[in-house]
Amino acid sequence: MADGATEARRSALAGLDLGSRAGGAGGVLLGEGPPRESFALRGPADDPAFARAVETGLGAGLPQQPGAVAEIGADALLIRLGPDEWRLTAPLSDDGRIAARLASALAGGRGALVNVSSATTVIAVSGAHAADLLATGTGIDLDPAAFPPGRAARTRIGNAQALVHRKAEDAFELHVPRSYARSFWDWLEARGREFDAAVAL
Amino acid sequence: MLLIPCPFCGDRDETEFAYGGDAGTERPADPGAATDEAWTDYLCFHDNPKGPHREFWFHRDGCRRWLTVERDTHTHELGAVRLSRP
Repeated sequence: MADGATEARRSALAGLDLGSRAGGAGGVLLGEGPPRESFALRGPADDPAFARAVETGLGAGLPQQPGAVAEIGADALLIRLGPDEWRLTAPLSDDGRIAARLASALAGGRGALVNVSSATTVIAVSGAHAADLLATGTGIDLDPAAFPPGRAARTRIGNAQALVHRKAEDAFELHVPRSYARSFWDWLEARGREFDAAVAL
Repeated sequence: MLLIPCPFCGDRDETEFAYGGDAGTERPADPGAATDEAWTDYLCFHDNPKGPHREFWFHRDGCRRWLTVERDTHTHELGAVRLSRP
């Protein structure tokens, strides 16, 4: 698992040269998020042995509610996406260690862990109008009462499927398929004009 | 637009789903013994009712599970929605 981290990484948004366009204040700040490692975890939610293995490997229990997020140590997250599906995501600096612990805890039992880090691009959307911008392209209710900070959802935003994690009331992290990253960024910028969107420094 | 109450994700827009067709047909129980006629009937012939219809929807942009949905093809009124395989 550590192999991927040692290879050269090139962002799907590299060609946009966002660094040279950063700056300015706006109602929404758009930026590429810190790259993260992501792992798809599949397993039977109702199997106590599976739940125990996850707890052994991560030191945190399986989040139960749809979209619930369990925090694991330093900025690693386990997000419930489906009846038998979770997403483990960790900072690049973790170098696959958390996933390796989980993989060894799962060994021999039911459950599968697959590295999907290269499948998504992380985009950060923040600012007073962040939720307003995203709401122009998704059907889920982004009111903090219905989708509070600390929750996540996989849904459709604009032209792409996105895993949305609300980090704070006005800060979202979006994991979009890598092949959609450029056109999704264009969509964000086009919709962002209404809210004076700027590229984050 | 339909608002489909996914049993896992909650109310979601139709655009998150892919339509999967008629859920009212039954696959021949013993495929080896089924006649050509039974296969043809299963694969090719579907009711096209104006009214209540049972159909599959795939929640592509959500929990990625297949749902069995009761929908009135005339009024678009939705009835019971359940995971096709719990």
